[in-house]
Amino acid sequence: MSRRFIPAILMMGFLIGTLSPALRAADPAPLKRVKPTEEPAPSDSAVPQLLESHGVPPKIPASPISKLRTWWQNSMARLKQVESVQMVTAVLDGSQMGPGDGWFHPGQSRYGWDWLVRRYDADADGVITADEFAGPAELFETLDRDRNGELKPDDFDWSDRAPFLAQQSQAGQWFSWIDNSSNGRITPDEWQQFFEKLAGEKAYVSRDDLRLGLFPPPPKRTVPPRAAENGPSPMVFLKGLLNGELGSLREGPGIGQPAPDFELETQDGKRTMRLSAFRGNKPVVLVFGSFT
Amino acid sequence: MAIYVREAHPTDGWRMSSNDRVGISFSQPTSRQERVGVAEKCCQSLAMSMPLLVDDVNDRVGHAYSGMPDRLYVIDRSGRVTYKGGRGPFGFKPGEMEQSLVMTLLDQTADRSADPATNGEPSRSKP
Repeated sequence: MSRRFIPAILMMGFLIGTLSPALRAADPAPLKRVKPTEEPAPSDSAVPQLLESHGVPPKIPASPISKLRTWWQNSMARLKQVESVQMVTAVLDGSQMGPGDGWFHPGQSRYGWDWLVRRYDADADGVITADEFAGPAELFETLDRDRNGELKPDDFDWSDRAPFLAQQSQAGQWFSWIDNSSNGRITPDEWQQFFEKLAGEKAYVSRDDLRLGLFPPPPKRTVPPRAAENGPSPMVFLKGLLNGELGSLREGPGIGQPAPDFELETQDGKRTMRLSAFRGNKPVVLVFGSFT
Repeated sequence: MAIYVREAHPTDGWRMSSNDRVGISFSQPTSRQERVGVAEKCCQSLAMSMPLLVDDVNDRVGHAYSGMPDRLYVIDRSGRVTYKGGRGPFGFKPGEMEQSLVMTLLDQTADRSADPATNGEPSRSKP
């Protein structure tokens, strides 16, 4: 089979796959049970005739076409919310897959600030203090993102406009400059190397050294950037989308839905774990990822 | 638990020079054995303490959860999803997940009869 056909066949399969749940969701009754014509009941004809005699047009009985139109509109609305459709749209629009593009949506939770307030804000002042909080102290500390001793709505704002996220992003950038081995841990040696980079020839780091080290000037561009430096082409994104590297054509379970069960082996082959074994015991966190 | 899925930036896909610079250069594994090999290197390099489960090469579990390239979920004791992170890399926010995990734990120990979030499930005492 020519490799050129594979993306086309996959796209068709993806369209059929995404349309089928939309079909089922929008119209639970199979189409074959719809009557070809719908005659108004004999007892109903008196009222339309009366209305017509007063110049009011009679109610047009719902035809199969209008039902089809409603079903199609519902399906299209549902299809627009399908993550993989959003992603293909974004990629074909030339997106470079930044935050908020395509299927990069915020996280969802059954819980949040409103849930906490209902439970713990005894004096209903919009702030939950450590005293009002009935749970263990270490859980309070995890919720108290800015560590100021009280819980407020901004402790739970994970959108990109939150100042905490900007701090985290900047700190993350500095971290990646210092973590030479890229293993998520800065060793004393790596810290020392950063120090030496800031200090240069000297045996100390000055104020300006630190400023320039943390906020370096943008690199000068002496030649126009090559096309390859502008990021991957839409074909690379689409290929990655279809083969599952950059995402999936499936949506995954939503909040409140049962988590699909599975059984997998660890990388060292020593253990086999099944998700449902944790039922009734403790909650489970799933972390999906890869080395690259 | 961690679930190791398809490489996000294999050398034969959307290759990243930042990976090459630190020697993380792998083509997309085509067999489970190959993937296990890369997962083992990942586990050692990151000194992972949580169990690292390796998904089938067709990413059966990864697709069931739409987990690629990376994603976080919290599942409560009744087996239902209480937190579904945004898709990584931008949606991968461990701090956000931790807060939902804390609230999942708090919800379990609270009075279930007063909590509509339990959907009428029978209360379970801690073992």
